[in-house]
Amino acid sequence: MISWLLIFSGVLLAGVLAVNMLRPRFKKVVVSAARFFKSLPPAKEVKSRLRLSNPARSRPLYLQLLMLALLVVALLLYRSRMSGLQRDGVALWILIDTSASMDTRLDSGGSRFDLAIEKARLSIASAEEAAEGLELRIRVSAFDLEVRDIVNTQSATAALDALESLKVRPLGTDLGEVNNKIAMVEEQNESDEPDDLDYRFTHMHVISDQSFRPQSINYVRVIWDNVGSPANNQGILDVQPSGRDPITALIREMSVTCEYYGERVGATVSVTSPTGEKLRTSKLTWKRNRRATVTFPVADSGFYRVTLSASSEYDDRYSWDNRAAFLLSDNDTHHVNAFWGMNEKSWLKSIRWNDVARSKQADVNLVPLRNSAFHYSSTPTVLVGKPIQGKVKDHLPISIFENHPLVRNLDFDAFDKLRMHGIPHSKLPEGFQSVLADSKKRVWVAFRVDPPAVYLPRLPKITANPGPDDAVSQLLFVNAARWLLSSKAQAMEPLYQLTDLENQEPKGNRIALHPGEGDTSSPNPTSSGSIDDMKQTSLGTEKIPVWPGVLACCALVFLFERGMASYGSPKWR
Amino acid sequence: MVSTLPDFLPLPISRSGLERYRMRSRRMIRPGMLGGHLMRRKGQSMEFRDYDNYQRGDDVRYVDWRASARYGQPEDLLVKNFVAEEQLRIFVSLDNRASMMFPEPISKMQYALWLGEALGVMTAPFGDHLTLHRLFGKSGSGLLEFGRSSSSLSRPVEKLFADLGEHQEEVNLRPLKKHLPPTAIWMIISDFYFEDDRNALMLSDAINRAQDGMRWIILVDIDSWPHEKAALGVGSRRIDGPGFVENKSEFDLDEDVYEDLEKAIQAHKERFLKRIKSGAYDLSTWAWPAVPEFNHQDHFSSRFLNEKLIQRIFMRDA
Repeated sequence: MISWLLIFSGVLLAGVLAVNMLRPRFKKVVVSAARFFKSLPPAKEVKSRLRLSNPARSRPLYLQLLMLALLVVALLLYRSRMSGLQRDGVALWILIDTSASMDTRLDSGGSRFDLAIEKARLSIASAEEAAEGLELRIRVSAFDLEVRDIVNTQSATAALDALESLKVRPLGTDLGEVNNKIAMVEEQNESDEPDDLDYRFTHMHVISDQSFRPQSINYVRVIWDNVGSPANNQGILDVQPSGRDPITALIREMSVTCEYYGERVGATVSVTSPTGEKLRTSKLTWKRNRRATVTFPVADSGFYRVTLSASSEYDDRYSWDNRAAFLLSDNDTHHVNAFWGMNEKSWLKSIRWNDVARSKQADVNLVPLRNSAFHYSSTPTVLVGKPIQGKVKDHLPISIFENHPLVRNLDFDAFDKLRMHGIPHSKLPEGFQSVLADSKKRVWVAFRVDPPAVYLPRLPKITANPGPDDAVSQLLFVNAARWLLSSKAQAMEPLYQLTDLENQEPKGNRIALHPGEGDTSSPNPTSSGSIDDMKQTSLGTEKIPVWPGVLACCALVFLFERGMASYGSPKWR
Repeated sequence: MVSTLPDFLPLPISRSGLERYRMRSRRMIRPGMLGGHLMRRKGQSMEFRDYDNYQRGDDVRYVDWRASARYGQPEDLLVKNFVAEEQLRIFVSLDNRASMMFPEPISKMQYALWLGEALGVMTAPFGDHLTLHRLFGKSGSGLLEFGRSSSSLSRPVEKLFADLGEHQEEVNLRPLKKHLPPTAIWMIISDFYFEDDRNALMLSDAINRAQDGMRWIILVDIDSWPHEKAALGVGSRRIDGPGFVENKSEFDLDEDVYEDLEKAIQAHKERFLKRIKSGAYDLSTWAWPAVPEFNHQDHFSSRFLNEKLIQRIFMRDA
């Protein structure tokens, strides 16, 4: 910093001196015949004397050096602050939860959000009273997935007016954002020289249906109002695929998981197909974990709507989780172009992949291991081993990398019982890592990331009555194909998406099933502090940065110099 | 520009040397020539000086018959010559405008004062009158008489310029009526940088009227420009001085500029002189040396002692 400053100052100083050295210098002479000079043309200002000499010691030179000095001082004092006035009063920051769960209705008839607004009003009134004519500053923010400022004012009336503009948004809650703000205020209050007075508050009032999470807070009074209380709610918890075609991986069955809080009363779930037909209406059977699951088959692509209906006598206090929707996309069926280098092509037809010539661009190669021409192909490649007839005699326990996608859903017991022949790892091309192998480094399944490739021991056979080994082979093949194709970033559309900051309203398959929002149990609502404790304290000493003042002086000198050069006597030029 | 009277420096010429001069008007003159254009009879006392041959027109009352009979040829008559005790008046007007207070450190006014004082020293021992006159300023004042009792300017000169009044630029002509009699010498010492205004017109009219009264008008032009030009040199200069507007004071001076300036100065002076009757005055230009620095005292001494007009008025005693 200092070295750069020196270089910068040096360049500016050299520039100022050079300009003044090149300025025409006018030696002042008093002559008795001065009146006869009136008729002479004045000297040309821009005429310069290109010669090295001492700079003309003129008033502009001194002013320019003063400006330079002020500029350097301003840079040097970039971080310097000078003490301002000591301020006393009340600075209150109200953070109001506007997440979806705040729409939960209370016994009194209003919602948790209405109660929160009422508490905020009381808080503002209490702060105004505590300030007793001294400085009052109120900042109102709302939070859900983000903390957003509504108003930052010194007027209680303005703060109250700002509350009117608040409303609940069907979004989730991120208490981490609130805790970050508390930490920022804590840090600013702890510091004797706070950087940002916008984060210096005497009190923070958080109003939410979430409970206070105790943390070490010493320098700011945090009042945490939990407006949540136990309430009845039945809602959809999740919608997930529960059954896929084993070969094409197309979704064939969906399941809806529901949960209830409070009173246990029966409910029904109805599913509407993309064509608008009622696909299924199922009565929920609540289990001991307060959940119930309904499955239903799906076939056509399009929007499916799921609705949970409570019985008529049930008082469901929270409604955002009573509906869900998901989109079964056409893209779920992926037409793969494959270069099929195996003799047996019945399997290719059964999975409806397109067979393309080697010269054409293929999504995936499927070739025997012995065909070394494909060992390092840039196209994702499945290398298939040569099955050895008969079962292995000296079968050793297999080493399994369970987390790898190649072995997802694999029944390892069934695989172990097959006792297939593995090949020595050394026979695989370079870069392969084993997924299934035994202690003698005989490999059944292996993969390589770059270039992407998978080694499988065999292809599944097409038989009328597939045995366990065929089922294993099918699974391994499907997993391999998925893993390789995913490397080409052909991601499928999600079934549904949650509302977010960009898309706040539920629409289509964008739903408001944010985790935890429907949990109206509020088992131990924890609050902390009280607005009655509000009292005026020091808001700290205002620290005013020095450099703007110095820079302003520099600007004034500049204006003065330019003004005198334009309108002053020749001494100023 | 405000100008102040510079410190007065002592006369650089020896007083005793100056006192050896006397006015040529004191030489022997014929009785019939008394009352010529330079002199005026004063009183009746006449002192015999010598004889001369009679010329036609000589007053026969002054023929010394006895001496003619004793020394002269029969056809020659000797006529007595007398010295008339005539007192001459020299009226010296000093231009006291601001331009005369420059250049620094020795100004044109200093030269004018030296000249006035030198003339005073030369005239005072013989009872002749020399009056120093402040040409500009409050009308009616600004006179300093030189006589036997006051032949030094060291202190009285301050009085001369003390009462300038509010109208410093107005020509002070009223004292001329009383103190500038016919046959007197009126010497005007100036740089002739007069403004072309009413004052210059009044002054030229006064000079013309004075010429009518058989007065000898002598204009002494103290021309410091050659010296000032040498001091200015060539290059960028910020000019200051009397009668100058400040917001246009920076000039690039070169020979072409100087040529224009000199033409302007010369034309300006000639405009003033043309107003005066042609040939009825004497003009003496005291040009300063065209060098940046010189010894003003030596220059003045030399210039004064070699001045033809001075030599026409005064003569050194044998």
